[in-house]
This record gives sequence, C-alpha cells and structure tokens, in this order.
Amino acid sequence: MELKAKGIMKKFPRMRDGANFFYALHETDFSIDSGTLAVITGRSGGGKTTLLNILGGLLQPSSGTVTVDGVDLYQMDDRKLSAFRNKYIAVIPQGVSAVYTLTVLENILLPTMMYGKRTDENVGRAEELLQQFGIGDLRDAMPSELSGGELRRMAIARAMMTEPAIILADEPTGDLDDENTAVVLKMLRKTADDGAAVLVISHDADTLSYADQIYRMDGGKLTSHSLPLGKEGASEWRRMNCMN
Amino acid sequence: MKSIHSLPFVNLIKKPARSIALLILSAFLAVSAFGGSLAVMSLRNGIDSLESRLGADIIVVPYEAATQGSYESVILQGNPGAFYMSNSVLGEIAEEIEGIEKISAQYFLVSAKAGCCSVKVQIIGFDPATDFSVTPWIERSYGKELSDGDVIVGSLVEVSTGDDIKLFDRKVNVVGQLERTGTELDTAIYCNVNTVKQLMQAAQVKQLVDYNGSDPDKVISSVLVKVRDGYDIDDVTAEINLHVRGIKAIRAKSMISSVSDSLSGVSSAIGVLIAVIWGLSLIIMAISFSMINNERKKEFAVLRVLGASRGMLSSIVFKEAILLTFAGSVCGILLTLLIGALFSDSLTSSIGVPFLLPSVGTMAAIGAATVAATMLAGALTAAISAHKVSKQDTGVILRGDN
Repeated sequence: MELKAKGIMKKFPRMRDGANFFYALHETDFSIDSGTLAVITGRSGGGKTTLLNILGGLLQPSSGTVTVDGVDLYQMDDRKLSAFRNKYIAVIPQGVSAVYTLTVLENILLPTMMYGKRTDENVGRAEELLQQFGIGDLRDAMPSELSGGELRRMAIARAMMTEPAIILADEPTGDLDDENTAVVLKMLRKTADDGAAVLVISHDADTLSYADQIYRMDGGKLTSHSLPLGKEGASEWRRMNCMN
Repeated sequence: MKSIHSLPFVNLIKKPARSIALLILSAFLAVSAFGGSLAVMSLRNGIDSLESRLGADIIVVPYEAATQGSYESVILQGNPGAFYMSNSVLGEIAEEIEGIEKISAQYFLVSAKAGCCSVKVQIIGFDPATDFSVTPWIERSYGKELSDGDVIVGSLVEVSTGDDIKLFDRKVNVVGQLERTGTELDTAIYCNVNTVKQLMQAAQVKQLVDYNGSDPDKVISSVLVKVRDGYDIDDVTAEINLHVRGIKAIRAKSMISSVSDSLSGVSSAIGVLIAVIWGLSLIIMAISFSMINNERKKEFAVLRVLGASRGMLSSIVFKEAILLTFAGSVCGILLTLLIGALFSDSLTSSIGVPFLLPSVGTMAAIGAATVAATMLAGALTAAISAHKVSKQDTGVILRGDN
C-alpha cells in the first residue's frame, strides 16, 4: 500500500477569532510505500507529530490530500475513516497511550475488538506479541502496574496486533533502554520487510540504521531528502546532521 | 472483555470511586422524585379516604371539645380521645332543625389497655340503624351488620378475624378487619351501640371513665348530620348552633379543608424541594460528566487512534451514563421504600395529616417513571459531554498531550 500526502498544510489559529495563524506544517508532499521504513527526525516542535497525525487520518489538514492506494482519507466520513484506520493504519502515539481500565492483554486485543469479538486466535497472537516484546508475564497486569518502557512496548505490540499495512510510530523508543530499543526497532524493521509501510518519528540516532528513507523536519518544513541507507549511509547522515 | 460493547461496563467496574459518586448522585435524584411523588400522592389519598369515610355534612360535638380543639384529632385522625354530651342533643336536632336528611350518634371510648394491643385503643360505637358514616366503610370489608358483642378492627390492630379480645374485662369477638386509612383509625375498634354501651358501663364500674356525672346510657360523643338536598349546609349548621345548647356544630368540609390546607402546604414544599434538588443535581451531574470526560480525553484519543468512530465514543459515554443512572435510580427507589417502611409511621404523626400509600401498581408506575426520568437526566447531561468528546480533534489532543 502506498501512503501519499500531496500539498498538505496545517495552520492553527493563534487567537480566538482566528485572525492570526500558526503554521504547524507548511505545504508538504510525502509518500511511503509498502516494504519501506522511513524515519523523520528533527527538533521538537518542528511539526513531525502534526504530519504523523495528518497521515494517520487523525488531524484534518488545512489543505492538501492524503491517500492510501488512491483512496482519499479525508473524503471519507468519520465512520468509514475510523474503520479504515482500524484495518489498515496503526498509529503509535507519543507518550503513554494505555486504556487504564483494561489489562495489558485486553489493551493489545483492543484493535481487534473495535469491529469484532475476542477470539482464541487473536488471544494467541496477542500472547505471541507479548512474548516478543518481553512483557509476556505482564499479560494480566493493569497498565498502572507497568513502567514507562513496558507501556511503550505494550503500545507497539498493540499497533502490530492487526498486522496493519501502514504503521506510524511517534517516538516509539522514547522510554526504552538500549536493549528494548533494539527489540522494537528490529520488530519495526521486520514488519517493513514483511510488506508494511513504516514511518517512524524519532530523535533516537539508533533508528536511522534501520531506515530506508530519512527525512528531517524543522519549522513545519520537510527539508531533507530521502537517502538510501545502509549502516554506513546512516553513519554518514548522522555526521552530516551533527547527530551521535 | 469480549468486545468494545463491553467497555462501558468494564470502565464502570474498574473505576469504582467515579462510578459510586455518580451512582449516589443518581440515587439522590431518584429518592427526591420517587419519595416526593409518593409523599404527595399518599397525602392526597389520605384526604380522599378521609372525605369518603366521613360522609357527613355537619358534625356536632360538645362545646368544650370544640373550644379545646380536641375533636378534630379524634374525629379526623382517630387519635384516642373521648368527650360526651347528653343524648338529648340527638332528639333536639332531629326535631327542631329543618333540612336534616340523616342523623346518627357516635360514641367514643378509650381503652387503656386491650387484650390485643399494648397502646391506647380508640373504641368507636355507632348505631347501625341510623349510621351513614361508618357502615358503608365497614360493609366494604365485612359485608354484614355488626351483632351485639362483635367488633371490627382497624387494619393495624394485630388480631385475626374470629379472635376474642377483652376490653374492660369484657370479651368481644373480632369479626373483621377494615382497609387501611393511613390514620390512627387504623388502630381503632368499631362496634354497634349496644356493645359500646356495655363497654361504657364496664369502664364506669372500673372507675376508668367519668361521663360528666351522667349515666353512660344517656350520653353520646358526637352527632353526624347529612343535610337534605335543597338546604344550605351553612344555614343548617348555624341553625343547630342557634337552637341547641352546649354543643358546637361544625361543617365537615371546613374541618377537612384545614387538613387539606396543610396538605397543600406540605405538597408545595415537597414540590419546591424536588425542583431544587433536581436543578442542583442536574448541574452537578453535567459538571461531573464534563470533568470526568475531560480527564479521559487521552483515553478517548487512544480509542480513536485504534479505530473508534466519534459515534462509538459517544456511545461509550452514553452507555456509562445510562447504566449508572439506571442502577442509581433503582438504588434510590429501594432506599426510599426502606426509609418509608422504617419511618412512615413517625412521619405520619409528625406531619399530622392522613398518609395513605398508593397501590403497589401505582407505586410501580411511579418507580418506572422515576427510573425513566433519572435515566433521561443522565442521558441529557451525558449528551452534552458526549457531544464535546465526539467533536474533539484526536490529533489536537495527542499534540496537546505531547
């Protein structure tokens, strides 16, 4: 599946009457295809999360279109767009994103229960993901009992639950140690290799070595071009952008 | 959890403090609506029962009883009490006053202790040959005329039909039990004139009662008068007061209207109280839902991210509100019934007006209406909050959270 944004722009009114605007995202084109892992990096407040939310069908752009295999997300009504997102697009929001009244297992099963029922098959897959992310023994724990890192891993496992065609991850390794960062990035890489389009927003330099395309975003502008990278390319890119 | 439809149940169970607070608020609404409606209806029923039971246009009592005001509580409320006047009053009214259709005497006697009861019991004697007040009421429960030595008891007298009880050491036979009136008359004992005379004699022998120095056979307690059509009741009342000495004739309607006035005051107060409670509770409920859902913005945003539509979010908020208000209103109704069962007697005596609960069917209907009204209140207040939740832009919430 190809996720394509054309001429998208987002402005927010600064004042109540909307006389003055803040441009979170200047007119931008972006696309990502199946089997690709793209990373967007850049300073905080640069518009990365805004771009991710627009691509995920969560934030209506002020102008421009977002299509998935030619289907315009923002032409769909809310019910259709929500069902479409549930089926094809997994968004991993920044920070904690647990539903605190559900157990870890139920949180991971949640995407499959939005438009269906809990099945043994789904429980089996959820348990598999729990093991892969190293939180298998927390199956029946409540989110309030988990550490920040464990909650992040739970959110990523949940995003992978429906085997979506598109994964949009906002700082997925933000609260993780090196070991768990590697586990998560390897999983995201594998997901891309299995055919998903994966977009990762990250400040973490380790992410770059897993990327097929790298972008930089500052001041609401997607400035850097995508580069075909291997480990050496990533190292070169980090040097060019003064990152460790 | 089996599906997203179970999420509202899970949310309520897993957030007990939040749920209990809203449940108490809903119960409070239900208690005020159900309890208030029940109280007003019971008071109205009490007055209706009083009016239909009294049946007389004019009541004549000894002058002293009228000046002391004791007759009202005895005649209307059935509070134990007795007063006496010469039985010649009956003949004087019948012979000297025009426009009398029916006239009958009643006899009151207070038993200090009866075989049936641990408290004072009011004994009311009437003449079946002339009575038009008690007889129709008794006929509904007993269907026959009371024989000498027979008594019929109020609904709250703890005896069974067929039992013998002793009054002033005289044995009388209980032949029936009357329907509930909501007044002290529910603890009274009724008998015919011959039986009450025997009891009055027995009480005199035991020196428990003094009939103003008269022979018990020559005294009566009150006279009930039914005025013939075409005659003005006020005029007849005035005529009696003018021509018969030592008595006071009172128009029955004016007695009831004083009770009705206090009833209408109590009803209005209850109505205002209900309105204030509902107004405040609705505001509190709307603010509570709004605050709770504001706190849950991130949770709702997460659900949106996972594919929940705005409609699904509204449905979750709505279902939670409906479940809570349903459970709360049922608890409120049960609590009201419990409070009613425990305190209705003291409530009745403290407000001083007859209190007669409506039928079970009517109470069920009021209960159903209360549940519906409370759920509607919950739904309306939740709707405002659900609308806000559904309008929130997920991207903005997630962005703001970051």
